[in-house]
Amino acid sequence: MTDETKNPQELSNAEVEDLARSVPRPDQYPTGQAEEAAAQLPPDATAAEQATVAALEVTEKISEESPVAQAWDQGVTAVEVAIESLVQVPETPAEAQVHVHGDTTVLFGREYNIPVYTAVFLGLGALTVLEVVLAEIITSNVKIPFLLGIAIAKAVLVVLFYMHLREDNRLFALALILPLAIATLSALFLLAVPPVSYSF
Amino acid sequence: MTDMSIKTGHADPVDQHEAISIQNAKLAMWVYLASEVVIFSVFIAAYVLFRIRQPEAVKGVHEEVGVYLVTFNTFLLLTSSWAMVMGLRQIQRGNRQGLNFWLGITALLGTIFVALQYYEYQELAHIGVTLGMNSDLFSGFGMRFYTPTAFHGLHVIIGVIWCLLVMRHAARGGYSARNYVGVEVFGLYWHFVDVVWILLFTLIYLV
Repeated sequence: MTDETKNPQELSNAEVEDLARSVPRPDQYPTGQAEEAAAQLPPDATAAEQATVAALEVTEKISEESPVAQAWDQGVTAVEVAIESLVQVPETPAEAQVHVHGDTTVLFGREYNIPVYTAVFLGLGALTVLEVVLAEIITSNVKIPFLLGIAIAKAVLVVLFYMHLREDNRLFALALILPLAIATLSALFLLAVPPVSYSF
Repeated sequence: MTDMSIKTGHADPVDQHEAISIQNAKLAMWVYLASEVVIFSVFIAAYVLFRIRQPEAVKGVHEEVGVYLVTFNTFLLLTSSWAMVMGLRQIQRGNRQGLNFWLGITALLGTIFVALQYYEYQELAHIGVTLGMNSDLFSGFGMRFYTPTAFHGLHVIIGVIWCLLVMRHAARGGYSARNYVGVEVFGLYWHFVDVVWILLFTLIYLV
């Protein structure tokens, strides 16, 4: 049994598994609600009330029998569990804020006497110079994937180190990734739009 | 329904309340940034489509305008982001003067960035890059160029004003080594503006 006085971070793996087992699975959901509702339906029930009970019966039947509905339920549960796992509840102001970075940077196993923020800045500067040199030297479109790759690497560096996504609450990453994914997908659909009118 | 909540027994309620307030302030900023992601994505998508369909127009502008001024401007913004985190580092150690020194550099670099962007717009206008579809000499490049870059420039201006407000708050003792979430939240905004410029610089000026 899980110790209810513990914080989520203090739970052992066995206790987490214990908790996970206590979450009802779709096949353990209470059934018979439609039957109960039908029994309580008064003789002079309105059409809307009858329709509601009928809908409940159909829904229950589908969720009991349809593998698609069961898979859907399991999918929703999995998403809920995933989001729960992203949420980290801080207990002190120090936990909620980013921590002080040290005066040294460890890169490929070697320690350098410069703060991480400065090392990232030098990296960003070097990548920018590389970008401009590549853009000036290569005139064909071959340069495009390289330039885009470097730009994305620079953006990721800023997001991870300067915006502290590397160490901060992982839920924040969702606020960035979700709209970015939706916007990118929407933009890709635009590519399917004909650029000029068709002549018939 | 099973109660999934876990009772906590160790945290000081006052501390936890403050911690959750800080977390919420940051979450609010991230949610706001999510809306900004959508807006800038639309502008970037419009430019990318134009770049794919009118490569000659983009090439024409690139030949007329050098990349050196905008590269210098990019370095200004990257440096301002570095100054921002160096300021955060100072307040994490309880040094308010250090925070204001670095934030002063951030605001100064942001101001120079906007001034140079204005100068660049003047130069572009002289070669015929304009907002109007009919007056633009590069098949509508101006519209796709000015919209994202000017919108970004507006964000830099707002950032500079916000930076000055953070400095004023710091001068009045508003931040300490225990609570500097105001600096962190402003930093999130400023770095986001930097990230957007990193992408705009490559897409518009180099590709």
